[in-house]
Amino acid sequence: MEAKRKSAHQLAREIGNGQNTARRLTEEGLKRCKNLNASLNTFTFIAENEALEQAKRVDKMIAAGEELPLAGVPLAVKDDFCCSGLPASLGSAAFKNFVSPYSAAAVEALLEAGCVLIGKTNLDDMGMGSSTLSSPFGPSLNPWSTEYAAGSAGAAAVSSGQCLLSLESDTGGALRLGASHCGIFGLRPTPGRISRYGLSAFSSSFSQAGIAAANPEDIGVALEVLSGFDERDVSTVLCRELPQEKEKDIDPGTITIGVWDGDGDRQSSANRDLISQTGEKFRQGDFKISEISLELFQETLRAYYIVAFAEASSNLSRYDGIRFGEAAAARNLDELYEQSRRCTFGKEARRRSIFGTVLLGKDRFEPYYRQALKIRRLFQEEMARVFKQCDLLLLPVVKNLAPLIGREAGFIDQYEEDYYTAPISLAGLPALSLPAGTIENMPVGLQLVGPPLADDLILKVAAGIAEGLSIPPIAVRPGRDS
Amino acid sequence: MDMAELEKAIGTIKIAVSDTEKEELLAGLKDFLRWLEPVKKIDTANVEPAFFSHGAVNILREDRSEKADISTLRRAAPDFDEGFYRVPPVID
Repeated sequence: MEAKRKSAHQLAREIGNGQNTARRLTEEGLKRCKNLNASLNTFTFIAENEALEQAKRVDKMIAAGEELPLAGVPLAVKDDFCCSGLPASLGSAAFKNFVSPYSAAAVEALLEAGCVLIGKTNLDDMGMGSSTLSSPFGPSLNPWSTEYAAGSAGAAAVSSGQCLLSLESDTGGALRLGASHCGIFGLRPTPGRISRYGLSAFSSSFSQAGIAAANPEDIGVALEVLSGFDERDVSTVLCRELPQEKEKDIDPGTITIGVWDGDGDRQSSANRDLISQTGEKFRQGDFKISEISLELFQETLRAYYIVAFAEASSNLSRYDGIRFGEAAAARNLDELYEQSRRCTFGKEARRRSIFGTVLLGKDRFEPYYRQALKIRRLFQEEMARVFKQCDLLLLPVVKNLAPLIGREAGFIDQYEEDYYTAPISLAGLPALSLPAGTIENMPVGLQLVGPPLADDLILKVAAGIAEGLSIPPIAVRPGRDS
Repeated sequence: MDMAELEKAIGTIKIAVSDTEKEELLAGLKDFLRWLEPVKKIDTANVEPAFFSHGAVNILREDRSEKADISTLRRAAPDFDEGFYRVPPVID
């Protein structure tokens, strides 16, 4: 497939000037998806007919002289976003036959910009997790080595060249961890940059739409398409604060990258080496480097999980078999609720909704839930102080390599994998996972984090050193590259 | 943390859980609460809780009707009859 070796914005330009057609690329892309999906289990649904129809529309619009910034770009969409006329499993076997009557705002925007939706990607049980190991459709495998989980199926789709852009959700770090595990770029934007209308969010204050791609420039084009006020998602009011003028080219000499090389024993030596090597690349790119210390970071993961579980217990209550979800056979109303939720939730979703309810109980509300919200405030204040010392902050994404298939860790160990990502969600900051190197032949990323609304600066700075990163942006496995 | 408190939570959110899973959940919940203990030790005196990532404001929008395609709505529901969604009885 030609598309996998070109960036999305280059490809859109070629289609725009008549050197290529969306139809041709879509046909080739679908063939590749069908071949790879059989071994990687990336997609819950491949939208073959719809993709060919959309490609035809794009070619017609281009022929009519329309300019589309993402013309013909193959797009994957995580299966917790609604797409009109397509299945939306939301990560539950109970929804596998549900066909959405409308599209998420982000999906609409990307299709209007010319993207061709290739399919819906796999996800954990009700979107809860960052491995795909708890998916009712089985785990998605990592294109770099199928012994490992993909982390994010959308990241695997980009990494293996099944698409060039993936619309993702990120709550505690699924997008950033997946991007790291698959060797690509993944942006969790500032909450409010992208409308969440049509995204099934299990955690109202954390779940966020994000973008995965093989380079930061493509993410920048997609973010421009996606960003904006949407009256259907109140959080997007933040976009009214965005400067009208686009940020000009950056001058590295005026930008300080803060480097946090971890907190004692928790930081692996491999992560420390990656930070040091990547810091050096920033230095070579004329950026200033400054050592930063973070005091509260260690306890923020726990605070994140308290708030996320409490919000999940509330958000998941709508799946009662009446408003949402299949109604189970039952003798009375209570049994209908109980059995319908039983059919809808997997083990992890049951655990989170029950534990969240316990944390919101009378005796635990103050010492856990409100305490966690206060820690969030303290951490936001600490990060605001950090961004007075530096413009952006470089820190690890992962504690370990991607989970091995068939060796599922205990649930608390799984939560600990979000150690570097969930605190950033708690503070409401934008973060980009960028490929930084390999450990044991598997890709590992780092996070570039900024203050609220620094998304564009993060992407420009990442683009400034992207060529110097030590792993190829797209994994192409010999013998698998059809 | 005991089984009575766990069962109260399960009853509150109304979800069917087998006795074996309840035992497993109770053990897991005890571990989870132990894992959370350090959170309680952080000094948060005089700190206001942050319910949102950023300051939240409410945006009101105009009520307006939109035309929906009935066949699309029908496909989205398990039971649809004469322009209405049919749901199980909600009054016992």
